[in-house]
Amino acid sequence: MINLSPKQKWIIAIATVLIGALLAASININDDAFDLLPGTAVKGDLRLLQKLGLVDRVIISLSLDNEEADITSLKRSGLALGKLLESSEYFTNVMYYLPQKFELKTYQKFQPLLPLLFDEQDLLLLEPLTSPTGIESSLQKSFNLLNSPAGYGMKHQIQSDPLGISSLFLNKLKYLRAEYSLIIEDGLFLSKDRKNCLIIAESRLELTDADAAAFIQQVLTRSFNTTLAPGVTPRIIGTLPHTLANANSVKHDLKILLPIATILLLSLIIITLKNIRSLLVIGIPFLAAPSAIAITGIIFEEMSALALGFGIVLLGIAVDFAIHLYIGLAGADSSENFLKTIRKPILLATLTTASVFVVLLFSEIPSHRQMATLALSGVVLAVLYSWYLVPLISPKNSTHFAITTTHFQLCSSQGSSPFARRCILLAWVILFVSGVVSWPNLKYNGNLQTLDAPDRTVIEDENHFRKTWDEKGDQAFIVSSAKELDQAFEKNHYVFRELLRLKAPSFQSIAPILPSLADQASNLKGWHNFWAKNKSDFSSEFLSKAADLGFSEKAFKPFFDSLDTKTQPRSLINDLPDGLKDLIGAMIRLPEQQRGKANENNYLITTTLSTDEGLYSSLLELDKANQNITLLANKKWRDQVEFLLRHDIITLSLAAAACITIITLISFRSLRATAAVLAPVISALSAMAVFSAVTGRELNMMHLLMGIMVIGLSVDYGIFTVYSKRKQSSNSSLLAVSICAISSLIGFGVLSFAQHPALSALGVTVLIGIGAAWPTAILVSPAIIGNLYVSDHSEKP
Amino acid sequence: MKNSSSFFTTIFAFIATSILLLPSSPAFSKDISLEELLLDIRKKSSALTTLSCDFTQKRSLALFNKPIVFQGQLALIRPDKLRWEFISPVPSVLIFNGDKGIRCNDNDKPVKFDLANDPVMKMVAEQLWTWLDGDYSRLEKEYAIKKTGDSAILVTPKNQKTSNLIKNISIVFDGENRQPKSVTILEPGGDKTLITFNDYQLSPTLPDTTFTTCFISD
Repeated sequence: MINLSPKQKWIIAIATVLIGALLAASININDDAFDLLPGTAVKGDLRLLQKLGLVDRVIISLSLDNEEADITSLKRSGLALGKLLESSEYFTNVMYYLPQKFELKTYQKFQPLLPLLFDEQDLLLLEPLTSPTGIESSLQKSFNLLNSPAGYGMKHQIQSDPLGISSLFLNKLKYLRAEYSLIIEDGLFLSKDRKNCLIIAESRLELTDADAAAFIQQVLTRSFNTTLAPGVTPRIIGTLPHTLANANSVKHDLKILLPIATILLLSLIIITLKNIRSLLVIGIPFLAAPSAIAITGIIFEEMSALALGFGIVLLGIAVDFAIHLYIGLAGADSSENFLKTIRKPILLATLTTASVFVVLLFSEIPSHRQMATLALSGVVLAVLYSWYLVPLISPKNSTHFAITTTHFQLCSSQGSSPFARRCILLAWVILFVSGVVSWPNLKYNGNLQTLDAPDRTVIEDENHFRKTWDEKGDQAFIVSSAKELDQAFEKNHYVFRELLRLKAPSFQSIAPILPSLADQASNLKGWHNFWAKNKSDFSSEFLSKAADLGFSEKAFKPFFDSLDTKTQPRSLINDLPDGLKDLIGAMIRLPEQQRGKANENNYLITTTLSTDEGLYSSLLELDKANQNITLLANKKWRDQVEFLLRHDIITLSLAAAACITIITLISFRSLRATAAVLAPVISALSAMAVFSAVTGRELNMMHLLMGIMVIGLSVDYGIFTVYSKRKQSSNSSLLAVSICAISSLIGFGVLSFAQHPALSALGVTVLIGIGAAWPTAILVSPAIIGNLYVSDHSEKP
Repeated sequence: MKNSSSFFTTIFAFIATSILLLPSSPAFSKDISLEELLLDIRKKSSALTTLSCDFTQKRSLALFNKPIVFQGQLALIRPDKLRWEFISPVPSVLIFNGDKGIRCNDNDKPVKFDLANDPVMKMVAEQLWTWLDGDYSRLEKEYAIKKTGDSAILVTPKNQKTSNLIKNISIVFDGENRQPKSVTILEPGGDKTLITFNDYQLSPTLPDTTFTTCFISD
C-alpha cells in the first residue's frame, strides 16, 4: 500500500475536486418541472398539454377597479394591448378581438357549404321548417322583416334563406363559445358587467422555466405601461404567475433559511468541538460534490436543478462520517488503532446508506433517480475524502468538547439499570405499535398542486378571475391526434358525438363546423336524400304560400338553387373568416406549431369541457378505449400520481428496510444487535407515520424523498451506537451521533419554516424522523444491546 | 349589414331632419342656396323637441308581384326616443328608448334588445341620434346633396359600399308648410321605397308608454 504524505493527500484531493468541477461545469442543468413527475403516463399527458400551447398560455384580465377610468378607456386599453401583443415576437395566437358581426360573416361564407355540415340531427330540425306550418310562419316573418325599418338591406339574405336555416348553423357556432361567461362588444371580449376585458395569448418561451417566465413578465409589464389607461388594472392568470411565485418563494426561503442554518450549524460545531479546524469537518465531505455532479451528469446527460439542489442536501449525510472520524481521532490514544476500530462501522454505515440510495434509483420519479445517483456517488467519494483528510486536521488527544463523553457515560449508566431499560424499551414499543397502527391510515396526495406555492396575489387574482368570468369547476381537455389533419378531424368528431351521447353539460368543440371529409360526404348524402324525398311537396307548398303573401315566382330562386348544390367535401379551414380563424386556430395544433421536430408530431385538436365525477369516469373509459384520444384532467394525473406514489413509498421503503436489515444481520450476526441498529430507523418511520396520521397531513413526493434520507441517517446512528457498545470504546460515538443528529435537526428544522410547501414538508419530515431516531440511538439501542457484549470484553485479557 | 344599417339610418335621418323643419321658412324660397338651406334646417330643428305624424310606406321590390303598402305612425322625442309603428296590413312596432329598444309584432313576444349587445341596432341608433340633433353638415361628409327643385333635394352616397345598397334618396317638401311630403329611396336594380307623411302634430304630449309598450291598446 502506498503511503502518501499529508501534502500529497491534499494535492490529490484538490486535483480530483478540480477535475470534477471542470466536468461538472459542462453539464446541462434544466429547470424542467416534468422531472418531478412519476411515470411516463403523467409526463406524457403534461408534455401533450405543453404541445397544445396550454401550459404556455397567458390569460390577461383587464379590470376597471375604480372610478378613474370608464368603459371607453377599458376598450381602448384592451384593443391597444391586444394589438401590441399580436405584433410582439414573444407571443402568438393572441385572441382579443372578433370582427363585427363575425357570426353573420361566417354564415355568409358557409351558407353554400351547409349541405356538408348538416348532419342527421340538423336535418331532423329542418323537417318542421319545411312543413306547411313552418313554411307559412317563415314566409310571414320574412315578409314582415322586408317591410320593417330593420329589413332594409336584408333582401339577399331573405331570398337565400327564407326558412331561417341560418339559425341551425348559428347553433353550431355556440360550441365555439368559450367556457367563460362573456359578451362581445365592439369586437372585444367583455364581462357581463362590462368592467373587465379578456385577452388570451400564448408565450413563445416556456413558462415552466423560471428565467423565461421572468422575461415574459418584463415584456408584459412594459406592454401594460405602454397601452393601459390609468384606472385599468391587469391581472395575469396561468402558468406564468405560478412559476414566478414558486421561484421567488424558493429564492426567498433559501436567502433567509440557508444563512440561518449555516450560522447555527457552524455555531454548533465550534461550540461543541471548540476548535476552528472542526469547521473543515463539514467542508471535507462536500469536496465530493463536483465529482458526484459530474458522474450524475454523464449518466443522465442532463440534470434537473431540483435534483442538483436536493442531491447536495442528501450528500450532507456524509458529514456524519467526518464528524465520527474527527471526534474519535481527537479522543483516541492512537490514531492508527482508532482507524482500525472505526473502519468497519464506517464501511457498514456507508454500505447501508448506499443501499438506501440504490433503492431510490428504482423510483418512478426521474429527479429522484438523479438525486440518488448524485447522493450515492457523492457519499462514497465523501467517505473517501473524509477517511484520508479528516485525520490530517483532527486534533490529537483532545477532550475539550463542550458536551463531553462524560455526559454519555452518565446516560449509559442510567440506561443500564434493568428498570430503566424496561421503561425505555416500553416507550419505544409503544411508539412502534402506534406507527404500525397509523401506517394504514396514511393519506397520499398525488395532486401536483401541493408542490405549488402561489403567493397571495396569485390566489387573489385567480379568485377574481373565477368570479368575473364565471369559470366553472375543473377544466379538462380531450385531445384527438393523428398523423393527418383529416384523421384528426374524424377523431374529434367522434369525441363530439360521444360528448353529446354522454350529455356533457358544456363543452367547446370545432367539430360541428369542421367535420372530416368522410363526415362531410355522409352529411352531403343526407342532404340530397332529404330534398329528394321532400322537395316536390315542399316546393309547391312554398311557392303557393309565397304567392299568397305577394312574393314573385322568382323571388326565392337563390334558395332553390342552393338546394341543388354541386359542392363537394373539402378542407373548410380556409373558408373561415379572419377573426374566427384565430379562435379556431387555438384549438387546432399543427405539427410545426409544437415544440420538437415537426415530423415527429401529430396534428392535435382540442375539445375543452368542465367535468364532474360522473362524466369523468366515462371520459376515462373513452381515453382508455381509443389510442388517439387523450383525456387531460387534473383528477386523472392526481389518481395516477397517487397510485405511483403509494407504490413508491411502500415498495421503496420496504426494499430499503430489507436491504439495511440484511446487511446489518450479516455484519453483526445477532438479532439483538440488528434490532439495536434498526431501532432508530423504526422510531423515525413510526414517528413520521404517527405525526402524519395525527395531524391529517397528506404524504406527497417530497415526503418519500426525505423518508429515504431519514432511513439512511437513522441506520448510521444505530450502527455507530452498537459498534461503540461492542468495542466498549469511549462514548465518543454517542457524542458524534448527537452532533450529527443535532446538525440534521438544525438544517432541516430550519427548512420546516419555509414558505414553499415542498420545502416545508421536507423539513417537518426530517425533524420528526431524526427527532425520534436520535434519542432512540442514545437510549433505546444501548438498552436493547444491554449486556450483549459485556461477556466478550470480560473474557479478554 | 352595416351598409343596410347605414342605408336605414340615412333614410331615418332625412325623414327626421326634414320633418323638424318649421313651416313657412323664407329659407325655402327659390333663391336660397344649399348652404343657407342646411343652416336654416339646423336652426329650426333645434327648436323642436317632439312630434308625431302618420305615414304610408310603399315598397316596390322585384321580390314582390306588386307594391306592398303599409300604413303607420311615427313619434319621437329628442334626443333618444323613437317609435316607428306599422298599423296595417301587419302590425309591428320598433322602439328606441335610450340605450335599449323593443321589436314587436302581433304574433310573437316582444324582443327587447340592448344597444350594447346588438351591433346592428346599435349602429342604427347611433347614427340616427347623430342625425337628430339637426347637424345636417355631418351628412355632407358621406353624401352628396343637391337641390333638384323648389322643394326637393337629392342625396347620393359617396361611399362605394353604401351605394351598393342605396342609389339615391329624394325628398320632396310641401310647397306651403315645407313639411316633407315624401321620401323616395331608390336602390340599385330598380327597387324603390316611397314613404309619404301627413297629419303632422308638432310638440304633442306623448305619454311614456309610447316608448315602453309595444301595442298601446294592450
